[in-house]
Amino acid sequence: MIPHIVRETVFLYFAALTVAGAVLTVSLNRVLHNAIALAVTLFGIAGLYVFLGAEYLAVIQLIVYIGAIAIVIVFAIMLTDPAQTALRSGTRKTLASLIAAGAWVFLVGASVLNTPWSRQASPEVSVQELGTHLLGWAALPFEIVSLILLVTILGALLASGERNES
Amino acid sequence: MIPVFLKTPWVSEALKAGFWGCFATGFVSANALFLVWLERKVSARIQRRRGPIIAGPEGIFQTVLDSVKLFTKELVLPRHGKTFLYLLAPLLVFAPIIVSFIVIPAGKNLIIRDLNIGFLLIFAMSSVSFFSLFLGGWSSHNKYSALGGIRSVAQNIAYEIPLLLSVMGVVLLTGSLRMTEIVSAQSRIWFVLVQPLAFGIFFCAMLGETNRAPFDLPEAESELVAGYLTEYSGMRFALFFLAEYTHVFLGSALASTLFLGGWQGPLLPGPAWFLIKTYSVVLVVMWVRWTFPRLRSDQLILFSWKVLIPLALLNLLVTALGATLFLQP
Amino acid sequence: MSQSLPAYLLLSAFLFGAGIFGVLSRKNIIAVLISLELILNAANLNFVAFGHFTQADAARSQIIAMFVIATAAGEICVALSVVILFFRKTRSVLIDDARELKG
Repeated sequence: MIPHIVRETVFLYFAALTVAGAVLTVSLNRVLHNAIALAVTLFGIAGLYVFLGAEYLAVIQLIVYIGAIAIVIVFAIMLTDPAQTALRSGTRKTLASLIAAGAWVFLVGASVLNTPWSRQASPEVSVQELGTHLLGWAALPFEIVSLILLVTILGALLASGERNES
Repeated sequence: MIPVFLKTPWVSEALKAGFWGCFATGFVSANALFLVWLERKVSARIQRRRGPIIAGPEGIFQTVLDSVKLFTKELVLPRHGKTFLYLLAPLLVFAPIIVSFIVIPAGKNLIIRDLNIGFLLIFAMSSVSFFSLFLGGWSSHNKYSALGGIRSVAQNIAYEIPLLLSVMGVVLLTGSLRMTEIVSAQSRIWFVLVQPLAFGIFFCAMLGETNRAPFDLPEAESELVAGYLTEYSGMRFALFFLAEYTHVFLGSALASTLFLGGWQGPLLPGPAWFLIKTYSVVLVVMWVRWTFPRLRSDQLILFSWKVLIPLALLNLLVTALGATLFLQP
Repeated sequence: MSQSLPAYLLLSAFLFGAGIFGVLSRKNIIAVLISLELILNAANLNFVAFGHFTQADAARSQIIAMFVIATAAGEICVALSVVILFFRKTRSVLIDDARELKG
């Protein structure tokens, strides 16, 4: 129903947002700018999830990643000297890590482009289906993740409250 | 759906998108103007005075004149402000709220896109909006704006949880996140009667989310200069205020759709009932603002964590038990 | 291009590479954590793309991605609280200053 060219344009917009955000995240000097670029990248990825038939995952990404994780990162930056710089490690180490990352992208890119992929596409996944799975085979990981989050909250509270005890 | 007059999908989709985009934006702007006037009248009546009476009958044109004044105000930029983010922040706060209107059902088939995820889009857009709010506060390079931005964001993430939890009760009873299905599930009885506690929690959380009194410390006039809005003047200030009133309207529309039966009603057409219900909730929001004193920053966050979240969880538990025992699977 | 798998795989490879570059070459702990989030997101994108375009069950891959998001949220919470404690002790957030295991 949506014309092909509109789809492609919106896809290119989100892909460009993701790529630009990733580049900015690892190259800007001040950490707060990195956090903001991370939020932009996460927004781009959420848009890409919609193209992959994962609507629910896209809104969860927006609510959890941008609305919680990015904000927590920003709070942590604010609490530990907001004017800090990210301090790249010096030319040799930067070059080495650039070569490592570039080698990875090149290897994966080459193998991806040389594989004949079939062009089938699954339909969109509905929320009901995800819910059925979550209460089916994914019930155990679901409970374990809830336990992990509980332990995380308690740990963070205990760790940050230590100052008052002394 | 709207009847498609033209045969080619490209043109019809473009026209539909254009029409709904213009309609939504125009309606939102006109609505914000109306709400500003309504706020001034309601606050005046509660305070036993009359409010704006000079510009037009009962001061209807007052907001228009105020907008003209705001347009012509000098745009003051802070000297050390991070200019790109500073300029972008008002737009980033306003845009997600307009996008949220895509899933609000205003009538029997009058919903722009009936998404499978329904109202979760609204919460997702609110999260993006809050992040941009912090950006606006921080990029003004002003201690008071940054503090106001951080307080506002802390308040918003604290109230987002009871908001989501209270709506989960409704979702349990409906079995779907789609707005149209939630509205049609209320054809026999409104959810406010089945889930009164959830409605109360949703209302309080909505007040907290939209930074409305009594939770409006981040933008209060007598605190922190003006909070995160301090360094914004003229049209940008107007954009922030427009965003806030639109957010109030959005929250009220959500409350009326999820709890008060949406557009369903006996005699009048769908959109009329939708507007009546939404504006009733808006009036109650304004009434609350001028009735209760403001909560302090730590008080309001503690209220969310210690009162609203346990109540919302209790509501969810009771709803889940009731749904399992009394409703057919 | 939005209907083909290689586009998404290349995107996620690029994100992963950017994340690796960030983790390896930054001195600020919080910058390293931010780049770590990029890596996690690249993996998520991979999961969902494969779920959508191959015989794999799309719902399963999305549930795995959801668990990754939830675990990443928990992990960043713990990591940042450790960072804040470390900052309180040593007034610095550089990984070069985290030399001692004691205290």
